[in-house]
Amino acid sequence: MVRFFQRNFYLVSVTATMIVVVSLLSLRWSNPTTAHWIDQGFQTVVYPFQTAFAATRASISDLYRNYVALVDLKAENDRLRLETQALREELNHSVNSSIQFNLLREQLKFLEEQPERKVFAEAIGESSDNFHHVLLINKGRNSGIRRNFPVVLRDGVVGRIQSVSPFSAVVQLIVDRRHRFPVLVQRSRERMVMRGKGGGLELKNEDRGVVFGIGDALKINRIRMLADIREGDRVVTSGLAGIFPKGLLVGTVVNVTRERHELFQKADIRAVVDFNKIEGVFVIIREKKNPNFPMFTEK
Amino acid sequence: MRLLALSAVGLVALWLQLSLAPLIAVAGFKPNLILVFMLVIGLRRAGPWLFIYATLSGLAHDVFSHGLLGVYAVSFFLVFFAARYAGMSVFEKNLIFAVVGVFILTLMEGLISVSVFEYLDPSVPWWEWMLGKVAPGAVFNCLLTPPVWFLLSRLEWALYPPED
Repeated sequence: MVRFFQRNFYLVSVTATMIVVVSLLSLRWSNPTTAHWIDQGFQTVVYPFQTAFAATRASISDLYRNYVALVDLKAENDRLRLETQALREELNHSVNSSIQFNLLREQLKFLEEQPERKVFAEAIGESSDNFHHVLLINKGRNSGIRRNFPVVLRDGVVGRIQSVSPFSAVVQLIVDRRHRFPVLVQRSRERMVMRGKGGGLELKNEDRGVVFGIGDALKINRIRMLADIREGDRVVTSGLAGIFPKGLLVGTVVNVTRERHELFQKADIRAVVDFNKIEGVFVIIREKKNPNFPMFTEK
Repeated sequence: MRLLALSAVGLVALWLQLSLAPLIAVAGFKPNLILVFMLVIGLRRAGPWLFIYATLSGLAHDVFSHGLLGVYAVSFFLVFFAARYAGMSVFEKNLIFAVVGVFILTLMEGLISVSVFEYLDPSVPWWEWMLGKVAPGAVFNCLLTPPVWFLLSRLEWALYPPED
């Protein structure tokens, strides 16, 4: 036996490597909990590297912006002078508005009795390939973030927490193909399910509508023929999946396709969030006693 | 020394993939510099044990892509042997061969990884991804092959200068 291994050391090594790699791949199906722990372990280990790489990337961008792209500096300077004058006038108006705002805010305080705690996190990385649409953020378990917590921006829904390590977390964007969640058409209250398609969003209605990400947009297939959906309709989260709060804006319907010979309609959705320009996001922190605590997360 | 140089090359490839690739992305398409480095090394008559380098590169790509752990490790592992075989059987120190090799082998790597993705999630649009993501990625990768080729040639000459 020993002699066999000595003679075929290379072949044994190649086979062993293949077995290890395939086992790693199949682990996610045989034991998802262990796979999550492995993901978290890797994520914790690579976090310093990812931060360092993100910093160098920012430096390269700054170098370009500060030194290479200064060709139109003079024209921009003149434009900015004019803009400053306009802004000074605007400032006077804003001071008045600010005083009024503070008075009104006092009256609205009762609305903040049970505010949803949000944690702001900066985006420090993205997927290294073209198939997954994720963001790495610089806040993690230590900031109270858990798996499946919703991630939002002022504009609308961004995604959900895919995995979390002590100092960082991975956000699966709604346009990622693996992502699907229930939505409502704001005007007609039609329920649907959205799915990412790795470049957009696709709205499906196989279970009365699911929005699917398609990369940089969203799409819904198989919407009931009688469902009331039109171009320009706003699509919001329905709150039924137990991940996103109800009523968050997802996008706008840009195209509805109805074929007479088909049983369902399809709709393309333009997401409100520009996923290429995200620099920071808010993670909604849910307490376990909260009825909206995600169903599929750890303690 | 060779091991040290390989580790450095691997780290440089990873660094370029995470810092430079998003900046030079065209219409959202990032080149796969980790794969380009691995394939150029494979095509330059790599040693038999470099499959470990290929597997570790794939694993690093898996980790930093935040997808399914092991997909790229498998595809890089398999494609490395194809690259090595191509390098051994038809390789001459020729840049054009390397460019064509990277194009074909990138398609092969895409074929493997997209097939694995589709096997694990049947809703993955196989053709759409092959034509819309893998093929443009292969073109992008082969355009980036010359600089990687020259960089690795320089490194090889520095480490092992020609005797004549």
